[in-house]
Amino acid sequence: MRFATGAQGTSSEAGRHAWKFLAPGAVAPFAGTRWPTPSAAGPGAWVVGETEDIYACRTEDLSWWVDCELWEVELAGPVEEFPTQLRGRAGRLLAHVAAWDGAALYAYGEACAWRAREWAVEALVSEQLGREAEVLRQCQTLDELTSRARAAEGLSRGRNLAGFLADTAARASQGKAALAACNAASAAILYRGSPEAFEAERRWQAAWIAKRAQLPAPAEGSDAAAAPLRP
Amino acid sequence: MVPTQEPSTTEAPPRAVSPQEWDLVQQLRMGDEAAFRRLAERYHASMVRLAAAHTPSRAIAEEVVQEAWIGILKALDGFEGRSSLRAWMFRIVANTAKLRGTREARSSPFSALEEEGGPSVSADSFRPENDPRWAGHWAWSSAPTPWPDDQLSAQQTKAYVMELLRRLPPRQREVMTLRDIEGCSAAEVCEALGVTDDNQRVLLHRARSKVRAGLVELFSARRASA
Amino acid sequence: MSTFRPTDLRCKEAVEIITDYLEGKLSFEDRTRFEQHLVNCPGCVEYLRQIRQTIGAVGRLTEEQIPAVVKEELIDAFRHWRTGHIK
Repeated sequence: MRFATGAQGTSSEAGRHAWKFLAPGAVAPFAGTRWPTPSAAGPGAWVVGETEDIYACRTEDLSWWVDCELWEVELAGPVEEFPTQLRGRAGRLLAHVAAWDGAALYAYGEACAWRAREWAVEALVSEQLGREAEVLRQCQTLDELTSRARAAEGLSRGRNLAGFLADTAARASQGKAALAACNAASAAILYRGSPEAFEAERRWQAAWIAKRAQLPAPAEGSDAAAAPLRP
Repeated sequence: MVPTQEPSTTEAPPRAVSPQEWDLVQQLRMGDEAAFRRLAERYHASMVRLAAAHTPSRAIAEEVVQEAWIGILKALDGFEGRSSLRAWMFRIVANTAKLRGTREARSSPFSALEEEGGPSVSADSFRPENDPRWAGHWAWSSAPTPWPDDQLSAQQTKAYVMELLRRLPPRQREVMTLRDIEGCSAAEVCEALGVTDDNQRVLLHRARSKVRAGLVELFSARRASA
Repeated sequence: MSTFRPTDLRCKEAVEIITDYLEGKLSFEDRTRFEQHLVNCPGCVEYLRQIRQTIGAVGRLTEEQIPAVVKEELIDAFRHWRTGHIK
């Protein structure tokens, strides 16, 4: 992923529909300010950025910005496209995505952990560490996975992936889904052997989020089905 | 009331001073003693705080402010409103304080220290470069944990913060005083201290990092003794 | 094999650009990188909060007692200056 120098994306007309993750209470995650929420009367009031512009996600961007609340938003333009976000001059909240709730966020972290397990298992097998691999395969809960993976952790590729798995599962069980997902995407680089694997994993993750939140599928084809690989 | 235009030199300088403060300057120039009292009272505490960054005691800081006022009055005719009034006044205070500081034989080992960058957080708070997965990320035991809200605004904590500020190298203390206590803009600080925007940001960054680190120590010491 | 991507920000770097971030001096790319780091790093989110709390704590030092006493010597100095100044 590279940002074009000068960073002027391509423009499109105003009134673009997109998604936005916020902290609980419709709070902007970095600034801490509260967004006006929609009501029976209509969408939330327009927010015009004073010192900052307004940012939002396309479906494929969701995994980069995941948080507790997901909102459908309208961005007013000109709206510019960037590698992981849209930028506009003003935005307003249209509707809260009810399907993305606390349970969904937690399940997201779990899904990333079970997926990371597959990589660790495969890598351990390839290093003739079948016993360690089988132990991980047998795990049924995140806590089991965390402690078993931690025990298998080491410096070889397979054992390092077990270490990543332990980190991912631990964070997932603590409800730190965003961090778990980031760990998993980092693990993907080691698993697939290239830095591009990070973005590819983010696409898989975005597709998972979109499916769970019952949004239209991302524009780009995703790498795999959005279903988690649970036992 | 509309401020009268000053005669321009080659081009009209941008007016950064507010109309109210411009009026005040005119009143001073006409010898209005009540206006002078108002101005002196309004800025007294701020000027002492700024002077204190370079002087060893509050008493001397007060003397510096008295001295600075003479300089301000003498230079008053030359004020063109290109900066805010307070930035212009603060400049005279800061210069007076530094001169006085030198005369008091307060050595400046600090200026050497200040130039020494150094990380905002000690390197051992992060995982080492040879860590297999998380080099450069927070080490488990060092990741910041929330500060106790009730203690943050307590009187004792305030006194401690004052002490942390007092111990900053003078230039860092100056910038933090003007930006975070007086609420000056970056541009006003550049004017008052004769530094570039990048300079003032670096000094501000170091000051804030240091004071934050001091608070971390305070809260962890309190936890340990609780 | 290292999983560090050149576009990644690590915590060690994040704490050094925090003032640039708060001042709005980061390039768009760096700001995005910084905020994407915050999404995944509760430690740095807390660090940012602590810097903001530090600024707040320092800002409250205006309540310190420096009495706004304008000494008579200063008024005398003003009168002296005025005499010479007003022709």
